[in-house]
Amino acid sequence: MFHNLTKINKTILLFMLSFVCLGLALLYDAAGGNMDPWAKSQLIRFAIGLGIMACIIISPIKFWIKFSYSFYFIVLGLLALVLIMGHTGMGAQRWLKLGPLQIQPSEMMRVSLILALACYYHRRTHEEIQKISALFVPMLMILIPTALVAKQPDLGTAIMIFLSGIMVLFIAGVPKRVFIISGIGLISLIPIAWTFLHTYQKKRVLTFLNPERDPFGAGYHIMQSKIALGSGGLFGKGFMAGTQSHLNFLPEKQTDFIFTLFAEEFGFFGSILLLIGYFITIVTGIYLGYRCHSIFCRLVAIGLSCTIFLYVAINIAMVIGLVPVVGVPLPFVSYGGTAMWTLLITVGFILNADRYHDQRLERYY
Amino acid sequence: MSVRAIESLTSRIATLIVVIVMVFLALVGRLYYLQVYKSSHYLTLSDKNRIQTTPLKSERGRILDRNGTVIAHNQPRYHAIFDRRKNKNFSKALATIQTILNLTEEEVADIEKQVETVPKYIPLELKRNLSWQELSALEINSFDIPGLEILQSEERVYPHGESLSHVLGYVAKPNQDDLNKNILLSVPGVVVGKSGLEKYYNEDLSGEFGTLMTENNARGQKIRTLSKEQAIAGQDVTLTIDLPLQNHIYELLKPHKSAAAIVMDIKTGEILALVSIPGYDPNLFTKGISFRQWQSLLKAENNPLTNKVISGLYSPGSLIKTFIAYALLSEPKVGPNFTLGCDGKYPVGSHTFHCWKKIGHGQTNLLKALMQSCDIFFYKTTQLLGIDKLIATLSQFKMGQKTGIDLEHEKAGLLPSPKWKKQRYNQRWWPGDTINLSIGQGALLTTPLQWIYGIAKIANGGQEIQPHLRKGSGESFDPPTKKDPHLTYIQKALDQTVNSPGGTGRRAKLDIPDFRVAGKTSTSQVRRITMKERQQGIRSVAETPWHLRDNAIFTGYAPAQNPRYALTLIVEHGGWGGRTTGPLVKNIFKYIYKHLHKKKSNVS
Repeated sequence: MFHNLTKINKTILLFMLSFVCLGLALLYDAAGGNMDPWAKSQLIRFAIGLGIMACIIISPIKFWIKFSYSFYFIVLGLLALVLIMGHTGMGAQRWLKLGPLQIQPSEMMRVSLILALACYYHRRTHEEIQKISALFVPMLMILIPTALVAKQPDLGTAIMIFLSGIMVLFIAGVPKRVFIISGIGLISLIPIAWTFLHTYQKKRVLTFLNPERDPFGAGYHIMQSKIALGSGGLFGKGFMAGTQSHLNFLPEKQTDFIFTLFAEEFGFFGSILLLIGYFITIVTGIYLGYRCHSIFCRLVAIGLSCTIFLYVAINIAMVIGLVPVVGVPLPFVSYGGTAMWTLLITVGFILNADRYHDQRLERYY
Repeated sequence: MSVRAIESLTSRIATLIVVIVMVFLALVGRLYYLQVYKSSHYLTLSDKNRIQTTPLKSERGRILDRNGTVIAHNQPRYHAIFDRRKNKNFSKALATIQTILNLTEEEVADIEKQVETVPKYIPLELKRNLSWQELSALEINSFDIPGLEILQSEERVYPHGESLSHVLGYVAKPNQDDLNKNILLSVPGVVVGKSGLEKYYNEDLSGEFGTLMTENNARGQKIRTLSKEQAIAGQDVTLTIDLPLQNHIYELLKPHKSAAAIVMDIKTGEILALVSIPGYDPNLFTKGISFRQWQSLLKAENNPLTNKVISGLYSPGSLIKTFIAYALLSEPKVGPNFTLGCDGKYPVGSHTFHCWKKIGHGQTNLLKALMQSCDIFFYKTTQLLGIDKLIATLSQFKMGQKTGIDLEHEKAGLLPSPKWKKQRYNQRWWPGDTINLSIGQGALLTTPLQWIYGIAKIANGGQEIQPHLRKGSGESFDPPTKKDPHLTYIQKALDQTVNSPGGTGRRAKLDIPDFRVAGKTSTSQVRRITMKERQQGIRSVAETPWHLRDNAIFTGYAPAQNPRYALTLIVEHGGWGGRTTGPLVKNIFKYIYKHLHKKKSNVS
């Protein structure tokens, strides 16, 4: 149980801790130099999340190989339940009330899908994976939750679940031609997919392509975000000195748009440093996966590192106007309990997999 | 692991890392573009706020009657506003403004609240509807205080306010709920529909905001207009209401304190008049109603703010027999030839139910029972019919259901049933309940709109219709291909109720041969069982106070030979139905004949 416990990777932990500290500072900043209403409760959530992460790190990996399918199906069931009886927030059904707890199964799906896919490939030989027919089950495992989450509708999370699943398939060794052919196919499907989008989703995409379309509504965020970022310049306006973010030009400055606040106050250099930090964290995670002896550990570590990559890439690309606003937080920094816990669980699993990197694990337990 | 697998893994991880690096480089590139290359551009935008986007208000659409007469339009008014982008030091300016405009403490508090809640690109509203003195005082002083401006906007005016108050409703300044939905509504001078058609068609009437982009200098003065997207004016809404008829009925009913009337085209569902007495003056609301005025309207006798046609809940009384007759005609145990004797009494268990005519009606068939409104006939026959069939037929005529008219706050009322009684009181359904229902009393609650819907369906031969107030908004249905002999039978009975000497509606008889009136009168007991009374255990009519006089009701149509116009009328506490409503019905149908029917037939 305590195998390699003292040798867990410190780089990832260190970076994670600094992101959280930065997040707390920014939340304090966003509230105009106040621990309330955000920084304090974020700190409490982090403390709880840290406990959950510790539990995951010390848990035996065999347990997860054995139960990863069950875990996946439970979360899938919860996702279906959300659609039937979930709480509606901001026009989308995302929350499920379980007694005093409010849970967001779509967040948990990000982790459980990776575990289940890893388990699937762990139990197959390299030759079996090469067959096209072996793609059927994993694709179903990816597409069903993606569709359920998209239906909520939570486009950002749906895209993330889909992409992280595809990345696992790629690392697992699915033939490259499959990706090339389906990539071409998907692009040609875009016009059809368009007709299935909600009006507000279409509006977001259209506004993204031309923010001036709606200067008071949807385009307002992107315009204001760009003004705030751009006016930060090379070195930024200094901590607590951002003008745009503080004048309430930026709605959601504490959640999805927190990078804007950061970039306005710390400038281009600050942004680059933060990006480098994320890059090192992600690459370290991938390296940890690469050196694993078992397929399960490898795919869990790499797949979850890719999830962190997707969080960072989509969030920043969205606030700097490269992709439409889809509602993805900046990992460890944005305000929000569920996202914070999901990320701590993610790191927990990466480190747990790393703990067993030198073991050849059985296919079944 | 095979050598091939390891090679493949390494190359795939290399690919993955290349992708990640490329994405990060793209992010860095974009950040460089925004934060370094375009930095000075965005710095100008942020620091000096040079380019201003200002929302432009649209003009609210007018409301017209069916003949094109304007019944709601807009008049220019002037408001004092303050643009905070042109003067950062608003709190200092407020003191001066307070003396210029003579603002009360209350008004100042309201402005200070706006400062916190309204975004900067929307100006603050200092005072609405400036007087000429205030306007000239402002014009002299506005030069010294940058940001202080005069805004012209339109105020809603209702030239026939009172008579149409319940149809049109009114507009008012948006409240916090409205603002939460759309913050742009805080643009000074904007109003939203709060009741009636103004609320129901608010979206069409409002139009869309425009945007004005200007480049300003450091002092906030406009240098040039960059772009202007005109506001889209609201649509005009044309109603099915005939204004002269509406006004005529309103004036006619006004002396009766509390009353309601509707006239509807039975073939199209177009409502020609919809009157609820007492009315109120909707113009009060656009000027900004004071708290005292509002309180006095709320507490006023006979509820002027309630539209009795759609939200007044009444027992229909014997009017319901018209619809029950339809069920009886198709019931094999009753049918058109069924006859029974009425001696004025009907004992059920320990209780005896009475006919309104003490000595009874003697031998009675359905035709006579309808014509003379014999209660005993309906007590007995509905027992034969059974409660389930009775409820099914009454539902067909929408008793206790919303008709879906294009107005807010339509009430459904209540059609009692054994299932309802079980759920509500955990009691079984007694024969006495069916008896109460058979003469339109008991727990049954209906709106006058449901009555006119029901009578129209009888008069038009069973054609589905959608009562509506906006021209063209109602769905149109095909008339039935076959004549329903049961409906023809009821039509005949309603004709005789008014036009034969023994009928209860004889006082409504009109001496125009080609425009005979057909219909049913009704006298419904006023029972007001409040929630409080219910909690005290008072549940049936007999236990409520009797000192209130009965409601007088008429529902019918004309011409009897080729039905076209349906009329429903209720005079609250009007006493015996036929006597009170008769002359009013005659008067209204005479007016319809002269001003609507004859004109139409002359043209065609």
